[in-house]
Amino acid sequence: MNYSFQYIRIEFKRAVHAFLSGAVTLIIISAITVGSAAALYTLLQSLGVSEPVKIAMSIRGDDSMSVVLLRLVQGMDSVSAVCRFELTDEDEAREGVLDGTYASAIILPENFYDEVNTGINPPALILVPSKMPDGVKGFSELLSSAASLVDTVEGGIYAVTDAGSVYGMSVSRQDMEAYLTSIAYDALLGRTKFFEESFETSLDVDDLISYYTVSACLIILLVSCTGFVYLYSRRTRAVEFALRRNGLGPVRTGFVRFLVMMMQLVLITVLFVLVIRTASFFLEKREEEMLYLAASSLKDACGILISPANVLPVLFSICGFTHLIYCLLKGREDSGLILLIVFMIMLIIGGCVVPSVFLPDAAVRIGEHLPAFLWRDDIFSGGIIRELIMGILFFAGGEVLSWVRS
Amino acid sequence: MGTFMMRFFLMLKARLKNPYTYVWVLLMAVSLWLVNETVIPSRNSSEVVILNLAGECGDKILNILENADEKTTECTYSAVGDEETLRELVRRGQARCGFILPADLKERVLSGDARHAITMVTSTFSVKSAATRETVFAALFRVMNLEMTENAVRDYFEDPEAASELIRERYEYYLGSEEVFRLEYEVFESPESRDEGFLFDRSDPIRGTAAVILFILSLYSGSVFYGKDGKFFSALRKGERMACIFLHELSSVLIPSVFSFVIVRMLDAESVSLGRDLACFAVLVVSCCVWSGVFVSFFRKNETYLPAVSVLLFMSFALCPVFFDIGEYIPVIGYVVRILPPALYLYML
Repeated sequence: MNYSFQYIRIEFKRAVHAFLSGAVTLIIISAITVGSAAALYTLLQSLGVSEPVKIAMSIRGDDSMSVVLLRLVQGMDSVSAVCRFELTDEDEAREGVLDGTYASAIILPENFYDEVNTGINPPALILVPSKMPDGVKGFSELLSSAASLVDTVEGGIYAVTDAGSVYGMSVSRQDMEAYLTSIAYDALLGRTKFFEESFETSLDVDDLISYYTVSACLIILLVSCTGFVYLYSRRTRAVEFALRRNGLGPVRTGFVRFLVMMMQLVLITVLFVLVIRTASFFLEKREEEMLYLAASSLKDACGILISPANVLPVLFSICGFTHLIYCLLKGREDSGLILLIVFMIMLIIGGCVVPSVFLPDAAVRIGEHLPAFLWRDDIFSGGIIRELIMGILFFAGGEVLSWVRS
Repeated sequence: MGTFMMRFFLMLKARLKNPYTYVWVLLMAVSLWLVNETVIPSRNSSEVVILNLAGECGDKILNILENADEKTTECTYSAVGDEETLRELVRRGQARCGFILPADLKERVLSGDARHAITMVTSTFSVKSAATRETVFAALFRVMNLEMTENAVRDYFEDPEAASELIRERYEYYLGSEEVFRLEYEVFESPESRDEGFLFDRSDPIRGTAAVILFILSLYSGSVFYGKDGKFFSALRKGERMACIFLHELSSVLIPSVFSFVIVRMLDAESVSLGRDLACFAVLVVSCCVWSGVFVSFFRKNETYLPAVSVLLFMSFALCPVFFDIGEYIPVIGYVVRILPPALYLYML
């Protein structure tokens, strides 16, 4: 028994030495991983974000009603997502669109609101660039939809009043116009009620920040495993003989290696959580709403990562898998690099770098059965039993290989 | 010269017999296929998909949406056959959003019970879906307004049938006329502006992945100097040793590089001309061999060399314009990173 403790002590001493000597490499890789995760997050986040374009709005004369309407329109979510209006005079609007200050401009004629209301319909002038970028096209489409709604309502009212003048109506023309206008207003103001929103999530987790925080943690843990090659390096025959003579066969040494790996991975996870928690603490202090929300998501991700029931079984399984691969590679000098390549492939196909939804179907079907996918999934959902079974099977596989070879 | 050629052919022969050479080729092929098939949607997906279960009414709505003026429309509207396809396209970000027009749409709108009649499907990556909803509503309103109006005014006419006929006739007339509200467009010359594209500008995922894998392969083959084979090189004179190291590296990457070049051309032959691609690829292969020959001389043990290779692997993917061009945002990095063969190759293209 003393020999076993002695062996464990030596292996832990080696682990501390290896951890310290590889710390710089690990820090560089961690920094690159976290940076890349942040870049990928920014990329995917930018897919769901669109900057509104700046539109100059010029109203000839003193038309206070049009200004009030403009403010109402600007408050609509469909409009604020596409454009932002700025009231200005006509000359500035024309200058602004030419020098690029404004993406486009709307110039309304004098008494616009009153005239449209009384059926005179003066056209609104829209200044658009010859080459329309997507943002301006979006604004233009929205404007066309609004104009289409107005002319559809007007078309209906004019058609009915025309028919009334031929066939006669039981109400006056003004009353009919007011009646039809109120029906149209009801429909237009309640238009969002026509739609029921159904959300399809493109990720299998709550938000992108949690997804990339957990992925970055997983990548760093797996990269750390490539550094455990020293535990499996070939020993001289004399050392092997001495170990055997003192009752430390391949199975026992396997357990010690497993223990050393597990301790190191737990330590790295704790360090990672501390770094992320500190980052969220500083982000929370910033006044920008976006950074505050990011800090809150980072805190949620930390909450997942510090849950022992979620993380420890996954670390157990990772250690088992690493043990199996190193036993398979029989202490080759390049086994760390081979393990890294295996992990990279698993991480990519398993949807830990780019969400599975963007990967080819065949890759997703394979990836769903790879350990990396299950590890990430179980960090979120806490599949303790599955991870423990996987870990035991991987470890047993490695032990069988070592035992057969010995 | 003859000795060097002979050594090169012997190294190449050894590589051909080594099963790991084919593992690398397989790894290369799988990686490039994966990158090629991975579809990250563009930043502003303009595709909107519609599932029409509403029959003729839906056809009319689709007709209006599909035939909108291209110059002033940002979105492309198209019909899909089933709900699963619609949801899949939206989930993958290939469509901005989707709309499901139900079978009883017309009846529900006319009866005034149209609450939640149309299902709008959005996803994590949906943009401007509220604005797209306005366009779809405008089309729906254009199609349904006539019947809504007819139903509303029927009781106010002495002869509703005759009045209805005239209302239809006048309605069609007004919608095509200039008597209703309209917009007038004045087109001005676009101001010159910098393209705001964030990603996929200088980056090339397929060529970038091939370049990084070749680079790592050359570095990996450099680890041979720490084993038994390394003694052969250390026994040579300095100049001869450098030449032999270069030839050894070349023999390691030659077969995978030929395969990767063929795969790259098969997957993407249009973006770069064959001659230019070939020349740049040759520079990549040579620079990888030189790089690994120099890099390996900085380390004494395999235990320190291989972790450094892992760092370079991560750095190559993160800093070289493989998936995104960080140099667009931090130009200094764009210049410094050219020291890495994958970045040099990608910027040369």
